[in-house]
Amino acid sequence: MSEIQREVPPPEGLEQRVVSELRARGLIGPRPWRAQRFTVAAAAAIVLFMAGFGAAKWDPGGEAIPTPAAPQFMLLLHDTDDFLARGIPEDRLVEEYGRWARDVHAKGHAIHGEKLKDVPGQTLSGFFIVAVPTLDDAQAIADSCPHVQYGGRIEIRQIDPT
Amino acid sequence: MDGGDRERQAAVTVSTSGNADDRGLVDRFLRLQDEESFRALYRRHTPALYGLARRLLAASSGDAEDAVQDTWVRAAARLHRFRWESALRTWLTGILVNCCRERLRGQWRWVEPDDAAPKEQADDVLPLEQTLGVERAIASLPPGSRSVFVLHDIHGHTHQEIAALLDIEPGTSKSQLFHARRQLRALLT
Repeated sequence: MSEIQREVPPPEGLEQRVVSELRARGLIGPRPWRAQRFTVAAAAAIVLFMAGFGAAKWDPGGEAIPTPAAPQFMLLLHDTDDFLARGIPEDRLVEEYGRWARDVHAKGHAIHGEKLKDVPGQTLSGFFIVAVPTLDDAQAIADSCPHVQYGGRIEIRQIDPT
Repeated sequence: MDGGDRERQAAVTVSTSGNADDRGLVDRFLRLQDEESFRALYRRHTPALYGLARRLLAASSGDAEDAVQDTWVRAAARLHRFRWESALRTWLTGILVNCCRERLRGQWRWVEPDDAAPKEQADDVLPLEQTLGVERAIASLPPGSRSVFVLHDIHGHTHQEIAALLDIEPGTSKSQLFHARRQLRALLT
């Protein structure tokens, strides 16, 4: 395939079109208020976490917090580059993760989850807490999560009951 | 991570070639949000992205332009979360492939093999004399096998990488490449 050129010169006007679009979206250009806005967003995320509610909950409804009788496992959702490259709209993810959580709940496992506010340089984007008898059960639930199917990574940690 | 913890890791392409310059430009762009750094990144990667978009979409240049623009908009918005688990070009290619797939939704088909599973053949290279005719022949392939062919034979991706980019098994990628090459050979002889 050496005769075929991998690179093709893009049309001349495309570069300016892309730059203008990024500028219009605030992705190019000085933004002195950026740091302040981020600080506020991070603080808001902490408040939402503490309060136990938020705009993007993955709660199946009903039994929000796992019952303390069963061991509890945290499923920590990390975004990989592969996950980000897929560019799946956030509202679709929230809907799909919510549906998945309802399915898990319907199978008799208490589950509760939250989406976390975006923090630059951090891969952690959300979590679920699930109450199941064993780590293998938690692993099976994590394997079925759409986050993994979309190229994301899930870290499983057992919550210390003491 | 102790014995009580486990991690499920998605398949990730690891490549570091050409990343040093990209890192510098990306760091500067993220720090300053400046047009100059972005334009440098754009000029570095767009010819390959545009070439790929033209062939994946096999459609008007306008569609390819829109796909490239969407790719840069998505990339710029997510660049601060990019972890350098792959080369920047690989990551951008992944975004572009998804943008193209969204445009091809409804047209995307995998052609099932009608004979035994193909084997990789080192000498299975098409005799190509006329680039224009080849481009037309590539454009006539079904979107699925065309994507595999373009990514493998023109852009040099491995079957493992293509599998991750297109959400398919590596075996499917090999099979699609076999069929694409066979169809092209028939079209060009």
